[in-house]
Amino acid sequence: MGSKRRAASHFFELEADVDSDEEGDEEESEAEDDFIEDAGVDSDFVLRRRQVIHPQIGEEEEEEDIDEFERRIEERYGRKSRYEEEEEDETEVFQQALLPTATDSKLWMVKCANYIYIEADKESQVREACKGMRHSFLKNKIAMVPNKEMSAVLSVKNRETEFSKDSWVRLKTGNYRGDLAQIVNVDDIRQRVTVKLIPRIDFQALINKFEGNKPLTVSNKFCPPPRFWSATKAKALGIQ
Amino acid sequence: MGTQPAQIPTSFGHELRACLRCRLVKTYDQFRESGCENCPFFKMDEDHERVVDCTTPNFTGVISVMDPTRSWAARWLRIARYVPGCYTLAVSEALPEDLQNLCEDEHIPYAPPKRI
Ligand SMILES: [Zn+2]
Repeated sequence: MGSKRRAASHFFELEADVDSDEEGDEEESEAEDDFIEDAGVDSDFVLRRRQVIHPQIGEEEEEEDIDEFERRIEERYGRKSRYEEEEEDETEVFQQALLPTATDSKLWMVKCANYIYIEADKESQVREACKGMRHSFLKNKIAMVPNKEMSAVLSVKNRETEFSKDSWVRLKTGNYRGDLAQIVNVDDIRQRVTVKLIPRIDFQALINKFEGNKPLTVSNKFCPPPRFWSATKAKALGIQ
Repeated sequence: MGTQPAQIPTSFGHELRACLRCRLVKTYDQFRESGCENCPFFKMDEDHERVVDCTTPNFTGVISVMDPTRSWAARWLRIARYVPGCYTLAVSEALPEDLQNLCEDEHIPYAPPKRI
């Protein structure tokens, strides 16, 4: 998922469905709209929104804890060096061996504007860790993530091909909100994409502008229907 | 052990970048000024072009790890041996080949992102 082109994702939805009305579109807060909707990630883990924090617990126990940790690793993988090689061993089997066990600390889901996940042994430690955070989480619900769902919280879908040329997207804001568009160019450096879509041209507004009339007020919210450009129609309206 | 934690990102804006090897997240300026705490051999603080080559602005999810040796999440994400700090869950790009070679020469483990 590397969330390619984060900046552009503020404006587009990926995996444009033909069915419009994504779930939660109306109910979710406005802030949610800024982020890409990625149905594939069940935790909906989004940069800068969700953070997993591991609270420091009893620093004086640190040395013992490391020994304990090493002992557990040894116990689990048979020999110490196994862990030392972890980065070289990319097999799925080895990844499975890293799944949480009963002795690992738990993941806790804290509901605030969105969710944050905190790793800790006890709920009281989660409450402690949340103290002093900008939003008061203390009155919010804290739920323990079941062991078998813990890895899903940390999984993200590979979005390597996100915003590739010729792929389809759906716009998220402005007059074209909800409209399908096709990507015609991707600018990696500036993190911008250029799209092609069926224009929604407000001919009346154009005429008003050309004739130097007062521009329509903001309250006059008219969203022109999508139509292919018609020279004939434009001409009929006096637009050359 | 007593590892010194990595710098905490000074902002969470668009200038954030993640190291392509260890996935540490900091701002561009922080990488430029102090390099990557886990990957000093990249010498990002000596050659600013290196920051661009070794880090990416494209990543998903941030995790703050205070005690990597004890954290299950850190172990699962294979960042348990790195210094405490902010990391991303995943990057999609691989290190440029010359830097992969550099890792090999230095006997530094490097695992490219898995293709799905
Ligand atoms: Zn690094």
